[in-house]
Amino acid sequence: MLKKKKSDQLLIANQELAYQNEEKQKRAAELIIANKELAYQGDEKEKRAAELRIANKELIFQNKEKEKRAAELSIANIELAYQNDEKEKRAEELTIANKELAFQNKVKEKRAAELVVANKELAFQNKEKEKRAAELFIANKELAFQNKEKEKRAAELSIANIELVFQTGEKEKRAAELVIADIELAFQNKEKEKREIANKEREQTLSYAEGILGTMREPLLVLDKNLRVKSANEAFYRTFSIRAKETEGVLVYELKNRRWDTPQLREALEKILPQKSAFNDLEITFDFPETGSKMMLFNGRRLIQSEKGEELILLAMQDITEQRLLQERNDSFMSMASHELKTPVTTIKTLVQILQLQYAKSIDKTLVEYLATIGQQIDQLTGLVTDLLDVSKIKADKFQMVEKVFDFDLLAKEIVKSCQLLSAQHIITCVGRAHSKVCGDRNGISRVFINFITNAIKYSPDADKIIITISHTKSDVRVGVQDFGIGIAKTDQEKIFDRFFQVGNEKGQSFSGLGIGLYISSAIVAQHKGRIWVESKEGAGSTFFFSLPIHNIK
Amino acid sequence: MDTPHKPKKKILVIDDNAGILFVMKQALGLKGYDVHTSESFTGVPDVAQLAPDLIYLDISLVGQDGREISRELKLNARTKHIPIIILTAYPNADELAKEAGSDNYLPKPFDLQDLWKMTAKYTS
Repeated sequence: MLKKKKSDQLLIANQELAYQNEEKQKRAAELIIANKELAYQGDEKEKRAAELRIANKELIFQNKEKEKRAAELSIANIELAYQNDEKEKRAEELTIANKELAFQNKVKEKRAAELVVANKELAFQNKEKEKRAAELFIANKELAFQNKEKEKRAAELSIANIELVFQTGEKEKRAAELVIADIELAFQNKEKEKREIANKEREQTLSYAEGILGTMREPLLVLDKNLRVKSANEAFYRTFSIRAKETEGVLVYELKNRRWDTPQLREALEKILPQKSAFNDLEITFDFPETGSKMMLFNGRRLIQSEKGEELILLAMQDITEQRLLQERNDSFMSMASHELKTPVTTIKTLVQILQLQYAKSIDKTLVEYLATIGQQIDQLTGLVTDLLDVSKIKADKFQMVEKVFDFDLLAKEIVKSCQLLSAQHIITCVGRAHSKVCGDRNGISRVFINFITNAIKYSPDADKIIITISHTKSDVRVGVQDFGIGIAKTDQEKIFDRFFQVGNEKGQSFSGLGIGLYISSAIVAQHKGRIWVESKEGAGSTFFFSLPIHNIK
Repeated sequence: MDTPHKPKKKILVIDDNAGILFVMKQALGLKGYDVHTSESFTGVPDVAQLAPDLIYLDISLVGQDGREISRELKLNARTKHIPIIILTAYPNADELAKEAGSDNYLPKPFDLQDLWKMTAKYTS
């Protein structure tokens, strides 16, 4: 055991020695390295020294530079010092300038102060002016007020003047009124006188009226507004065989046992007052047992009695009983005469015709001629007798028409041709055409046409022409027959279509015929709803016209 | 009275005017008619007995109305076949003829030729 420990200790000491050897080697390596390092560091130190030498050289150069700079700086300092001097110089100059400026400012301040003073002065003067202006304004107002006052006075004066003028006018008016009043008084006086005269006249008129009514041959009634008789005239009492006490105050319809109560009279009377109308020629036939039938014509008028404004009716009557009877007798006489005349005419006519036949070839020319003349005259007589009968037919409304549609131009042509044979002296010319058809009695219309032409021949004995004019409108055919004969006086022109009226001339020359041709013609034209008229100048001739409605074929 | 070889047509004229009767007799006689005239109507039996072929009848006879005579003749079986012509101077001959119930009318004054024509018309 101790040996091993000594071996282990020896081993450890060996290992220690090995290690220390290694360490010594390492130290040697490390010393080489360190030597090498030292050698390197010596190189480095030499390098540094070289570098330092360079650096020193540099420093020396830099020092030289610094000195150069310092020299430059000292020069600069000198320059600066110079510049400072200059600055000071300038400062001094500025101070002087400042002083000058200060002086100038003071002058300016002075001027400003002076301006303030001047402003103050101006303001004062302005205020003064405003004061003056205010004073002037007030003064103006005062003047305006005074002017207005003056105008007022002037207006018052003009009103006063107008008033004066007016009062003058009024005075003049009063004066004029007084003059008028005087005139009025004078007028009233005259009026009074007039009224007195008028009253007298009225009394006279009244008595005049009463006188007329009393002596009038025609019955007259005055009715009040209730149709009661107010008064009647003598003719009334006489005509109706009635007394005053049976008449006055009696209702008109109750007269003569109510025989006056007729529908026509009622109708006519009841219109008069409400319609303020009048009626004329109202024909009423009364049947009175004691006096027979009476035909009366009534005229009715509304009257107003001026003072009371009372409405009255005036009834005027005409007893036409006699007149009617005469007329009827006349008509029936004409009809009878015509009828009776026809019988001998027929006999003579037939016998003449027989004789004419039997002696037509006779060698006795005188006999033949006589018979021919008798035959013509008989025909003329027949015409006259027929006309007479036509008149009575017209009166009795028995005129007959045969209505037919016919061509008017054709009829005109025939008529003109046949009428030309009636007169060798007159040349009949026909102007225009109707170009129409007419519906009517062809014979009747021919008669009118022929009547116009024969009249034209008859009443223009010294003329040599007759002009027929035919024209038409949309609705009518018109025929005019113009002659250049004696003409018709204006006053006769209305009567020419009346029965038995005949025109004569200034020489008292009369013309043959009965004076009924135009009467018959107008009746025929009237029946055809046509028109008949005349245009004429005395001594220059006449134109007779008729127109007929055109027949329009549907 | 002659006895005719061929029977003459018999005509009766009734008119109160002798002149007319004379003229009618002459005028119709010329044409060979057997004309009988009367101033008044004597009655149907007489007319029936005479048996004319044609009657000319005036309207206004004295105391008689031609229209009534005509109607009477036309109502009677023995005479109603006989043509009646109204002869009148009244203007409304056509109306009167109608009222009379007659066959025709001839207004006075007539023309000779018209008389002959009318007669021939009603007798042939």
